[in-house]
Amino acid sequence: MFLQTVGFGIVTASILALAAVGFTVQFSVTNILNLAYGDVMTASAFVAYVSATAGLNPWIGMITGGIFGSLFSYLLNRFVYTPFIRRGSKLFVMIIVTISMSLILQNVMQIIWGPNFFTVPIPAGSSVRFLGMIFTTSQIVIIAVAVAAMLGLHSLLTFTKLGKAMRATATDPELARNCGIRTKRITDLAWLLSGLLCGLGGVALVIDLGSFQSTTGGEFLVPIIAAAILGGVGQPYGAMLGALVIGMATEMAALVINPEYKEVVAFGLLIVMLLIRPQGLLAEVASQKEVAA
Amino acid sequence: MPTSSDSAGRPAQEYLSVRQLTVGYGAAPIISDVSIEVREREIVAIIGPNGAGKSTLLKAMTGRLSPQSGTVVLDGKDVTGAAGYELTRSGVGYVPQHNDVFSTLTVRDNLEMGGYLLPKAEVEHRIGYVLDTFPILKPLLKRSGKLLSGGERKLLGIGRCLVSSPKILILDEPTAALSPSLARTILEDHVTALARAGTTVLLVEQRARQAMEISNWCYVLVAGRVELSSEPRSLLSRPDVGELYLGRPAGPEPDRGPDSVAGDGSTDGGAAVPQVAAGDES
Ligand SMILES: Nc1ncnc2c1ncn2[C@@H]1O[C@H](COP(=O)(O)OP(=O)(O)O)[C@@H](O)[C@H]1O
Ligand SMILES: [Mg+2]
Repeated sequence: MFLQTVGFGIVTASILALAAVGFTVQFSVTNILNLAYGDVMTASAFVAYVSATAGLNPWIGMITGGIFGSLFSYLLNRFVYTPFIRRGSKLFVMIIVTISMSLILQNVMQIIWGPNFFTVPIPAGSSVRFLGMIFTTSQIVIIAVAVAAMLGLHSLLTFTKLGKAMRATATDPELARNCGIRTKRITDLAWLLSGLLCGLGGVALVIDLGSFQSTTGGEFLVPIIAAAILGGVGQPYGAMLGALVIGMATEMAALVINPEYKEVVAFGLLIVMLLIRPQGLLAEVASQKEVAA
Repeated sequence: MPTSSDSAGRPAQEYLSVRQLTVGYGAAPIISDVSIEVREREIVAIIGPNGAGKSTLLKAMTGRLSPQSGTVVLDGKDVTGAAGYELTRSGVGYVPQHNDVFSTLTVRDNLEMGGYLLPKAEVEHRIGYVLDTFPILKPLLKRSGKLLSGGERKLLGIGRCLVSSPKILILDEPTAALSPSLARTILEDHVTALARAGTTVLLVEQRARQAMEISNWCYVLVAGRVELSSEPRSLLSRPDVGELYLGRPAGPEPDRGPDSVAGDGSTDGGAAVPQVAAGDES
């Protein structure tokens, strides 16, 4: 039972890692705390659902969902967020804008799909035994996608000029421009990349949950933010670690206390983090941006 | 009224200039109607008391601030309001007063970013040159930018710029965090050597006397205006200049106070003075 919970923890951590790392990259490079992130995950899941029910191989849904998340995030920034930034909106105003976007997305999805639950038709497949833990095929795929994405991101950020330019832009966009970096292009790329992780995370989430509705991704935002903060926002590796901790902790809580309390545990960890690590999200935001919006 | 001795003896070719520049962060201008010019292969020094607007002027020349009025001309082209990356492409290198390195990147990656616009092979070659120039950076290549001492940091900032072989190097108080001896080395050896090798240098300095000694031309900026534009040697011999415009006598070595003298070996933990990012949206 304990080992199986560890197994669940690994799966949850994989989904969280995809989502939280995307969230972190988005915030650190673009400086927008995109609270519509969870709803873009849901939208990506619906795209995967549509492509799967249209007869495509359900696993292709991972790809269509990922691509949708990528493009949609890019367009969201281009046509919604950027115009506000151009008009001089600061951090707090932007947070309101992203919350509004979240509500709009949820409502649009409600209008299209109603309050019903949907299932991406993934075939059950055989189960795999590993170190006393049992994984379904889809869980294995989710873990593999997450590991591949994390390794890919790691290589990008550490070894390529583009990845270094991304980190440079996240750290100091003005200095980056004075190095010859066209930071706007880097920011566009960051939206595409983080949107890809967002989409993959969304599809992985609903495959793991079994069924989903228009609010599913939005509800997952708390553990995502908790994982991102746990690692120190803006730090992809921190978010990976945070995802592991939150994933394990929520599954353990589900085993020991009650599955109902998963979110509460994530939220509790978030609060504790903010108390004992003031250099977490809020402190960083406050010091780096003009808070007087 | 700005006083100006005539510019005889300066190189003929103007490289970077601002004309009647007015710049600020909000509605109120910080510098008003400022005109300066830097000619090819010159070292030009800008001195003046704290808060005079020296850094603000440089930000307007490096794509960080858009002027309210006036023009910036680089090598005959009007580059007023051009983005930082365009100016870098045109050969402008800039080491800001604060936040002069990427604190989250290693020393090596910082240098690599300096060569962002160069082909890979050339970047390696240029990094080699910078490490020969500042051997102190050699053992630090893998260290994170935030773990450097004030002196190491500044050398990395300058080194990062040099990787791109800029035609003009703009330095904002490069010696503020350095010990007097390292400051002397930077100004009297490195900066002069760069100028001799053909790089034009625009230098903002608190060590006014040393800056004047190595420069071909000097501007004194006070309260957002050019108070003096002069060949530096004649300025050095004027006893009133130091008291009036620098807040201290120009005669002896400027007193830097204990905190800045400690700069060389001391670690300031990368705690650069926080500065609100301006021109963020560009
Ligand atoms: N980012 C900023 N936003 C608003 N005001 C600023 C900013 N940076 C500097 N200032 C103000 O502009 C004036 C000139 O500053 P600065 O150009 O840094 O002077 P200097 O470099 O000569 O010491 C100061 O009054 C300073 O408070
Ligand atoms: Mg200054």
